[in-house]
Amino acid sequence: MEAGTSTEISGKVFEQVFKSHFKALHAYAFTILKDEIVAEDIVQQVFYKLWERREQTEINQSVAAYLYRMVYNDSLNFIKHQKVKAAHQSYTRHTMSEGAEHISKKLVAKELSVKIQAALNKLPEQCRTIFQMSRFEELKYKEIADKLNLSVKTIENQMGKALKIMRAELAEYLPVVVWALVTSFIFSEMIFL
Amino acid sequence: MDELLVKYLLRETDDTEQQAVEAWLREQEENSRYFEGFRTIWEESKRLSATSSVDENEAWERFQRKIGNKRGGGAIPLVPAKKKWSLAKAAAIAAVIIGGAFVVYLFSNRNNDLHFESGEQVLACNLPDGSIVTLNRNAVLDYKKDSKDGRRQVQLRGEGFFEVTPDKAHPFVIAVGDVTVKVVGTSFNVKAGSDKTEISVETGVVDVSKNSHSVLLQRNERALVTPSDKAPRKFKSTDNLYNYYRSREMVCNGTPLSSVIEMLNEAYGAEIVIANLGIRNLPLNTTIPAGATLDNILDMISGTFNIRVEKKGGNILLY
Repeated sequence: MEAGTSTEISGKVFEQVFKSHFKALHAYAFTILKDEIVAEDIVQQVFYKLWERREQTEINQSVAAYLYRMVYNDSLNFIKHQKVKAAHQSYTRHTMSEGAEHISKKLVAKELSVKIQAALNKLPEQCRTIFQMSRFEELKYKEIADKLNLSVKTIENQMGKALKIMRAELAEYLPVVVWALVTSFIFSEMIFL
Repeated sequence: MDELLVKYLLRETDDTEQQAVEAWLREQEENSRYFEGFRTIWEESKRLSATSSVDENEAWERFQRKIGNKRGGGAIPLVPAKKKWSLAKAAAIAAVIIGGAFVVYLFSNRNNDLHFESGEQVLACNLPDGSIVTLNRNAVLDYKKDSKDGRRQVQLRGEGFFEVTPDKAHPFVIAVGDVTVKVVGTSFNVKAGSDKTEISVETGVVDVSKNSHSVLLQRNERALVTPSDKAPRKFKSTDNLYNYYRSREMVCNGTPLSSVIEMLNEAYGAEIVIANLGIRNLPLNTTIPAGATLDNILDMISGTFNIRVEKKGGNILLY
């Protein structure tokens, strides 16, 4: 069921839309916010806005695309406000990015996750939504296209773009990872020799 | 080419495309190394995946209350509750009735009532039924046993860990403000603050209710209730830091730095502030032993993550 284009949303349809999208949107917000309760509040608020405006709003796109975009925007807004608050408490300084001097092999994997999270945060909305649907919801290109009411070609483009951006963000880091993986591989091979 | 490589990686290519990519990969080593970069990102990014542990039907009920509150009437008719809810509802109603009985009992002064206050020390309370309650600092516990039906009734302010002696005939009921926790025999932690009440279950099954809404918690689940919530919300437990005041040992198992800091602030009465949002979710894997000083712990954290620690007035800043 994909409540489609430019129709007014009735109560019953609204309930279906809510229930069929809630978990995926909640997980989506969580990947941005890392807080279950805030994530639920954001998703609830997005549905509330949609409900309030259901008579005025004509959704000329898929409801899923609309909801994902709202959740994305509201989550980022929330973080922005948090950042302002934190900045008032102290000077915000980012030292994580410069601390790549002593990366031990053990830390590589964990650090990579942190870096990938940061790279993910650099993706524009549509790109991120499509990437997450593919990666985390494990949907095929065709399924994503149907959900978002886009062409498969667009999904292809956006997925290419997503990985390209992430690769660029991780550019300095990837050779280190590959090096760490290769050395640990060589090392374990040597034991058997 | 990037789009095609990604497509290949995700097995979305058709035969022609697949052959083209494979030929390209064989062309030179540089190409396959380039492709490996994509593969690494793709595979590693799976770790960031999240699944929602919130039930969509419960979320929908919360949503309806939200609409109802703001518009002064349920705009959407309530969905009929699922079948399996009826049991939980019966338990909730029972809990409310018990709550009522409790209020009556308060006025009939019996002398097997017990009163505990922990003050500045963690306090272990042995109850007459064999249950043990460990109170965190600044907690208050009142215990009464109903002389008629033998129900074990407790009122808690602050935080306590309960190890309840099983006794099916005589349920153990805890009142924490307007939240009711009902068990038969199990162990769990209850933390009552002004902004939220949190119940984390270690063993057994626990029924948590507010108003007439109840949730059943099992091992490694927790419930949160804020004053504005009409009903408890259920989540998976992400850590068991609540053990800290009992064991004096803090077991971190991929625990986000922000939770560890919150715990340290509480345990040490410190004012540690994470001044860099980018480090809030760094996962910590370690056991902080009993007797560690705050400076020891901060040294360890700063060493692990390459984080700077700065003391400023009464505050400690991490960035």
